[in-house]
Amino acid sequence: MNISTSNLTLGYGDFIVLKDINVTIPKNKVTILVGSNGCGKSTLLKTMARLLKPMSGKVVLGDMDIFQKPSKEIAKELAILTQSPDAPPDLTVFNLVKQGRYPYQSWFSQWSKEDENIVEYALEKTGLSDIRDKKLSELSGGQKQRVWIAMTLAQQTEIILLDEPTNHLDIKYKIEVLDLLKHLNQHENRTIVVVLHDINLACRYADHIIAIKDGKVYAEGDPRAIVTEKLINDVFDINAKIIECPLFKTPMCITYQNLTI
Amino acid sequence: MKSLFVARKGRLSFIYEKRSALIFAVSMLICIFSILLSLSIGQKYISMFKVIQILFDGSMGGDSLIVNTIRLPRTLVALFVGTSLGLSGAILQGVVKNPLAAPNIIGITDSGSVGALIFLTLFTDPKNNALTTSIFYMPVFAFAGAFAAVLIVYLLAYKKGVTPYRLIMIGIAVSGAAKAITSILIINGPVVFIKEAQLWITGTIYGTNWTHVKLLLPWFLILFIITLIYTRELNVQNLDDCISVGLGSSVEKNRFLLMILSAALASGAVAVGGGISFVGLIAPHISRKLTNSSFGNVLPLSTVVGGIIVVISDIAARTLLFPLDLPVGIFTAGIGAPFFVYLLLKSQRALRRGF
Repeated sequence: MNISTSNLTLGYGDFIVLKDINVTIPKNKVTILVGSNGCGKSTLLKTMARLLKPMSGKVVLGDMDIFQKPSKEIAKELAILTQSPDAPPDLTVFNLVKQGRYPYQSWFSQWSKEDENIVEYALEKTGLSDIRDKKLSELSGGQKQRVWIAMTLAQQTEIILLDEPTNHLDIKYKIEVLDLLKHLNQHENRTIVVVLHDINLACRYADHIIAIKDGKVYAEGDPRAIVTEKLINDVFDINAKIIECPLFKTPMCITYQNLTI
Repeated sequence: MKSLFVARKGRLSFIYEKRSALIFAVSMLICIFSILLSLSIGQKYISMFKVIQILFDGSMGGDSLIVNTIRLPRTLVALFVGTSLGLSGAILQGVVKNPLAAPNIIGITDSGSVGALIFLTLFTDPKNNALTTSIFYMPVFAFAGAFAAVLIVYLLAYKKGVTPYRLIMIGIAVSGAAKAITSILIINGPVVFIKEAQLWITGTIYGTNWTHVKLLLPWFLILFIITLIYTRELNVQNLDDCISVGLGSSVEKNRFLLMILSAALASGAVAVGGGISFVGLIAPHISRKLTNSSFGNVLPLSTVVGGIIVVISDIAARTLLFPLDLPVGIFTAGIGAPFFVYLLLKSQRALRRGF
């Protein structure tokens, strides 16, 4: 299933955030959207997941305009995890992950064998099997984020969109979450689209980077090809020196305002 | 999987948590016990054993008359007013994603009062201070008032869809306006109806009979069944809107339907029992404390807990200060409020202990 946008213009009220965006998300790759605060990367992600209606243009999922498709059918092909979502604190891990099966269920089919197997798989993948009966209020930030990812996994979609999934997490959990996403991409051929703040982590994990600046796509492509000192300067408005990461051979940016501190 | 009941046959499949099933069974037993208790005590004590005999064997002379025509209808009204409020509150708290929501907060109860008072104003003959029509029409007016409130709240809150936050804010405003209208009607109304009005506002099931049961029971049952079908929608409603849409739920449509369900349940209860407070707030709370936030657990339990609260409060209302028959609303608030505080304090202590 392919997802792309054509002449997409997005905004709130009269205010235009993004204009005439044409991007195609590469299939079975990790795509990371980067840009400064308020550049519209989250807005773009939400529109691709039919959470926001565009001012003009369209999002095409498969061969259909996403807004013409029944929402439940979309939910079987595309999952979205928005930024730090709320859930009742006394919900158990199992009960929240189970919600991922919603698009496949009806009032008379509430827990099929398939539902059970896939929820088990999702708990397993995210390392939550042992704490499935814990309440959300008892979990750490990293665990909570894994529960949400498990819920989107239970949706069993080819495409997974995530808005800042590593926000507010300690560095250990950041890496843990991104490793999990990379694993899902490499071993299960899922198409992953992530909005990420950290340009260095974006370079490490992305097969494809889309950099957004002034309401337009500034550049897109393999991070090794497109991430330059000029790009960092233009997109993030900060000076940078780029070296090769000694571990992953991806671009690594050392950012600075002035050379004297 | 050992903590779950799973039932599957062909395309049908259901799941239930064992612990919650056990808690539900226990609460059912308590409910049945409180009903029997309510039938057995009063001006004349009738042993529970005899009550059971009367219920199953039919005629047993004078005691049968007391049980079947006086105590049973009143107890059943108490039960179904309670179950309706408990269920209504649980639904509403899910829809607005706020555990402090209750039918009276978004104006259902206060607008029901306005309906009831309009009835009293229209049909009281000031010359001889008597009603010009039967008091049995009062529930119709109360129901209309309560239900109208929900529609008004929904319409006013609508702005390219309805957000839970706006629902609560507009609900509080409508509730305030209804209180103001109530005050005007009471102050300007004939003296005789002040007591009647005050009783109604506090919430009372004094003098209810089989007609009330026949009105309330089918109404409650139908809505209860529809609610069970909508349980999974309610589970999704309780998450962030973005997540619900992402899961493919028609969030707006379901929110409206669930609001109407909650309002219909509360309106039925308010029409018969008046402004009985606190049940819609604490029944779902108690249920969540006993199980967890999954509505498959909360809805049935909150229904039964609501029933228990009102039945027991009514026993207290008509026996504690006998021969005074007090409005049951005094006791749902009087017992409910301290219990609510106790629950909050207890859970705070549990938090400090690191649970």
